Amino acid sequence: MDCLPSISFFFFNTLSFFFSKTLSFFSSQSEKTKTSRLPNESSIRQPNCFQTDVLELILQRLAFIDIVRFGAVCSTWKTAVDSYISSPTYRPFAQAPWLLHSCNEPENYWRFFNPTETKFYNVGNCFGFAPKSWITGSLDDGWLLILEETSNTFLVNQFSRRKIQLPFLNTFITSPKVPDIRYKVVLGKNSSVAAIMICEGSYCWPKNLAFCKIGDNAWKPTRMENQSYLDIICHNDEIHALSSTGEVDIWDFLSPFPTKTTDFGGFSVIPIIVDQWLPFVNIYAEPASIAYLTKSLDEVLIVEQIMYSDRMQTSGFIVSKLDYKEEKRIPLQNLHGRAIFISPLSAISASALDCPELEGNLIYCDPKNYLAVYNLEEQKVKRYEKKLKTSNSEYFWVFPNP
Amino acid sequence: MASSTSGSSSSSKVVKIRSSDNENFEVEEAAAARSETIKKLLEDVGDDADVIPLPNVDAKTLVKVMEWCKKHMDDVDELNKEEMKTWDAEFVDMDQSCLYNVLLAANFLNIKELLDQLTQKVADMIKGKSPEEIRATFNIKNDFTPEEEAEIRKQNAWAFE
Repeated sequence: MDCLPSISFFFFNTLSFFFSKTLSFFSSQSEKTKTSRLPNESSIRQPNCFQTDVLELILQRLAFIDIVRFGAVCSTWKTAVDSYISSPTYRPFAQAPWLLHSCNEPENYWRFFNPTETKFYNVGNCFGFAPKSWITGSLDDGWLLILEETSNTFLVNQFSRRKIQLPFLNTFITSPKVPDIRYKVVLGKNSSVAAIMICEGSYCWPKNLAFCKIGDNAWKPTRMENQSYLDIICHNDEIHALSSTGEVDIWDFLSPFPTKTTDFGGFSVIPIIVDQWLPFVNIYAEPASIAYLTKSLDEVLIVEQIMYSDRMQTSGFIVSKLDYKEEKRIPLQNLHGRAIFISPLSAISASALDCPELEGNLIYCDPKNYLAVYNLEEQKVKRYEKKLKTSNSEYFWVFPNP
Repeated sequence: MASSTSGSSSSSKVVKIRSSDNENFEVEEAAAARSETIKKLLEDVGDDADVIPLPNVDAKTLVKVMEWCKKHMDDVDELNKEEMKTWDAEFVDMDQSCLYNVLLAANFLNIKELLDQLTQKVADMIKGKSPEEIRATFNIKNDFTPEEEAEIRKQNAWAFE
């Protein structure tokens, strides 16, 4: 399999973004009221007979890797795991994402890196791929977007070994230039899917947002003409789409037009903020930026990655919070315990409040040689993950969830 | 009976409860009412309540649970939050069989906050451990056949590296 030769990730003024099922970061305890249900005597005596509802309360507090190990303890616990994971109320436990570092073709596994343990995991690949297929993006919950030469596209999750077929890309745009085409997919509830074609430089797709339902044969482009979106996210089952002129449109899935447009004042503020915050060494090089939308602790953030166009090197980040009520972007000088993980076309966020082993206020990005860890407050790269030598530009962050 | 809404101004009314091994305890109502199960029973029987039988909780476990309920009887102000956290951490630090019994009792008595603390403790004891280590910690018998176990491990070999 010629999996994942890298796509070239040069983005100027390109916003990428990311999807998401609603992750409930705050634990959802079962609220059911118990009346006088009496455990029977034998269940009290046998140590491995935690009742099913107690086992579920424990599972709600475990990351997926611990859930998998939990299911290998005994048959009762395995049954509890199977029913918990397949339940519609299942919400993955908040944790740090893993980086898809590389795909080992001879041995057929995908190599993931967990930054909190600084440890690699080799996850066996259980899919067959066409000879020419590429990973082109990541969603947050373990899903990776695959594109084949035929413009066939689908999502795979190596943790749950599930695959979601999507409509062919040529039902969205004619003759997509595979594999250079850059597009992004996000999932909503009820099998809804949204996709954008990423506009590059002055080139823009006539229609760059489309929807479908899982199982559809074709993408349904919206009726908006010439809107160029840089990134989309799914937030509260609505699509937030950032345009190149700095507006954020909110869409219901499958609707022909946005339900709301908020103007956040374009990107003209960047140079001012950059001058203030970032010590530019090279005053002759034009800074370029890539903008991402990300949601975090129920807020929507714009993350701008500032680069020198002459060196393609990240020189800093500007993060601002979107205040939809006041129609304002509020620059953040620290992330209040959150960490942001930058992949091609998407940024995802995790909070140190939810996962104490995660160090907050950091942005993980740009592993051209080593994964760089950028401190927003100090406006500098804090360290490089020396363990994480990367030889190419395939790097995608995903939460290791089914 | 006046509904048993507890609070710091509790008039320290006392209720009687009986463990599965027939020991009787007198507990402040505000403490006992931390248990939704007891609270509901009290509301149902009203002032006629003589003694509330708890056929699923033995005396040793009940003492432990009521120790927690007493500590958590009143709302905690900001100043005491840290102290309470330390107390809670020490409270859940008990041996495996005791932890198991208190957890079952908290579930039966429906004391949500205690149940949260105990299930978190169990989860913390599981995190990062292999299935063998988890079995040893909780004294659980492996009832898989070797073939079943091999299949489970094969499916997610990465989690068992």
